[in-house]
Amino acid sequence: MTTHDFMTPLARLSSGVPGLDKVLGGGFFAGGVYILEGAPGAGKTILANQIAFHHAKQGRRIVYITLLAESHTRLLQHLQDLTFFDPATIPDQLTYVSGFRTLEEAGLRGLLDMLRKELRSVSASIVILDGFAAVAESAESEREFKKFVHELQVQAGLAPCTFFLLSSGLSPTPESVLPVHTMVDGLVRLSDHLTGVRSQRALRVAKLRGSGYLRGLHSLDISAEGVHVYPRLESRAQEVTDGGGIERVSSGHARFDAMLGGGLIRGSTMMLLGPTGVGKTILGYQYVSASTSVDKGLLFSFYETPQRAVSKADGIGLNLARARERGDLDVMWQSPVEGSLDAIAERLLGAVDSTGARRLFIDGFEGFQYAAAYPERVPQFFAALQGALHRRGVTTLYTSELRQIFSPAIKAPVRGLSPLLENLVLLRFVELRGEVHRVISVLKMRDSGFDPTIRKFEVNEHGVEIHDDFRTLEGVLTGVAHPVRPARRARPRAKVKPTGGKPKRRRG
Amino acid sequence: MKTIVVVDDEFGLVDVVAMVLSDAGYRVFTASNGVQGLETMRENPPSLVLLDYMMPLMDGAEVLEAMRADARLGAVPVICMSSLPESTVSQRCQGYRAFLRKPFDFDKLIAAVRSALGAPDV
Repeated sequence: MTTHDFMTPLARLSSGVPGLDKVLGGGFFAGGVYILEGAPGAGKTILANQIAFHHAKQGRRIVYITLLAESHTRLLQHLQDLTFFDPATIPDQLTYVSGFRTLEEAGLRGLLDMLRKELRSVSASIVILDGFAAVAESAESEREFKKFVHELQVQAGLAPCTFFLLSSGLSPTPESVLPVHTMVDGLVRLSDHLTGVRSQRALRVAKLRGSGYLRGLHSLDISAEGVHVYPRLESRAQEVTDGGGIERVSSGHARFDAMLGGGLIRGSTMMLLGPTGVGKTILGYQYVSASTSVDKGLLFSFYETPQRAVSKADGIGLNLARARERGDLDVMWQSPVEGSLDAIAERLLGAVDSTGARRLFIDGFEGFQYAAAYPERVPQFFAALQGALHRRGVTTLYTSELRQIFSPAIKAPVRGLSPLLENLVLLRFVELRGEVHRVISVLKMRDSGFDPTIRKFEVNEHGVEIHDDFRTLEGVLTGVAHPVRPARRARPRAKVKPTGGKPKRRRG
Repeated sequence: MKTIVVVDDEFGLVDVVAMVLSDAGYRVFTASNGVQGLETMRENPPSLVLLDYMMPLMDGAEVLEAMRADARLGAVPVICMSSLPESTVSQRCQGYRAFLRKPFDFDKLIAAVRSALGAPDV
């Protein structure tokens, strides 16, 4: 006998809630007792009803027992506009009953008796007890309350039936651990907290017996489709392995490829850093304009709508419209002020997976910063996203805006991001003899040599044109250039972050 | 005095309905599930029953069936109440006199009761 023969493994019970099973490591366990806890308005009732309708539609029997003063009529009225609500399943598959009066009149013993009879009469596979705190309040002692939970577990195992106990106000603080928490098979906590003026819903699995799960807070949205959980990207991070060997991907511009030592490196991430209007987006359009049927592209923009992006690119001879028509390029717009980091990541990775894109241009790294409820999370998120894209063989180009148009100081867009940036290209405006010029220079290329020369470039009707270097000038990266003079004393160097120091030909 | 038994598991509703009907001049008994409802009817033979559909232990359809099989209760008129549409309720409930879709207002309630039972004895 092997350990696997010892007992039948527990069956998983899918929640039917997008993203939740992933957080739970595959779903709840059938026959378990789970507490769904959260303040009023956190989404417990919608979550539980979504689970209920999901199973009702599959022909299972569910009993929803409310111990609250809220009437079923009111509850159903609130639910009826949600897309998962299916009146055809009520009451044959899904029954709503009130246990309030039974609890009031007959106490915990009476409620248990009602539960047992109800379970037997309808052969329910799921029971939802809404207002579990009322059971605790009605218990004459802690011992009686524990006994109630214990008997629920016995019934759950015998039936077999999965219990969801919905509770608000049971724990004095969101992090409190109560004796009842130690008795149940799982504890899922929902929250809705303020960060600044913004409200952020989240879900956290605090306990799940018999399974690994994704730890920490995961974003949660409630829309007309119900609850959607977005597993935190970092919690799903997997080890990134390199296939060995370096494959080059053209930037869509021969001279830029030469500066990069032969093009971008497959699976890597490059950031184009520069002030507004310098030409970062155009360089990105150039990159995705080289999309082909075997090297498909995706333009994910936080700024331009698809129509605007395509027409802007067309105006400088980069025919993105044709690439879209051929099916080689997809263009998406993402609002920079809506959605959480994880919702954006899910949308982005979903698009990469569904289109098979390997050439990705994300216009506006700031979009991720705006979406971050916790700005200090951005570097970890970026690393996880980078890993997820790398595993898919996606080569990514980002743009990120420098606030200063002319300045000797260059700051990385987010503190802690610099070490994560594999490849960094700086685009700047330079003032020289009463004229403003554009310059481009490669500051960092990991695993590759590169041309460190600072080159002048133009954006015209043919796209980007990269010209000669500025060998006769100094101070180009500070934004104010001047001709090289015989060195009599040391000149202050440009303060360049994040790589620091004067660029030179080297391997990154 | 005409007697009405109200059977409904919804907290609050059953008490309010009982109050409104008492104020209108009827004698009212209440129960919070089907089993308790049948017991109440047998102890206090009603002139009319207001019966909820979704209830624990014994739902409205089962109560109706038990009433029809009971010689003393078989002919008692029943008004079914539910937050579900009548088309759903009528699939399992047969032989009820009228239907009240929740939420209903008191005028509708009194009108339905008077229509089934006539004016209260004063």
